[in-house]
Amino acid sequence: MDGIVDESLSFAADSTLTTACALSALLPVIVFPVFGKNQRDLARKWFLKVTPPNIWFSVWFVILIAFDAAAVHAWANKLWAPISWICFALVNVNISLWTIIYGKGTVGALIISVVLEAILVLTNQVLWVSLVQNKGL
Amino acid sequence: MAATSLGVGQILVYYFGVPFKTQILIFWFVTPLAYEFFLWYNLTYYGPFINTIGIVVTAVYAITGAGISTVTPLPRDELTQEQQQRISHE
Repeated sequence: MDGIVDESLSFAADSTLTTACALSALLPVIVFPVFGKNQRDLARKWFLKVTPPNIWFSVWFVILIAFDAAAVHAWANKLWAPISWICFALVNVNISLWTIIYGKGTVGALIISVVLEAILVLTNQVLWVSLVQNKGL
Repeated sequence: MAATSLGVGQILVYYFGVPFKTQILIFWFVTPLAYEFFLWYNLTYYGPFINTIGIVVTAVYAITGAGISTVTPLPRDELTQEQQQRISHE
């Protein structure tokens, strides 16, 4: 009996965690329209000869849509392990924080946003590895 | 990865005062190397998987974008006076 109760509690906890992490996909969707308006001005302010044309950054929309579509598929079919969902949530929180902080336009904000970008690369790496190891792909 | 490399470049130029030309050299040295490192690491430790394709596609996309900007003449009218002065002194 205790085993069944423990299993049910564990399932409920997993299910709550998974749903909460899946809902984090909404964060960038809410944050970007509010805080991401001055990105074009900032590309001029922090001009570099190697910065691609503004249109090039539209790929982020494609990436986020593909990322969210994969997450919805994984959520519906219970494909991902909890670690993958935690990484997914961290990526969404990171992107949202980056949008808010980079949008401040100060040198301090620029430094923090680069740290966030580096963390984003590493979080994505952990996410991919967790998907491979848990056969979540 | 390319976005991080761009961010580091912005800090180098606007915080540490590194010349624009030097930043271009650093970017073109570091960014392909970073992609190669992640590609090598994933292939070595986890074998080929869908992420391998992802890294290659994003690397080509990012490097193409940066390449177009590097060979395109400077949009002088879009630059601030300070940026124009710095570039003309290099």
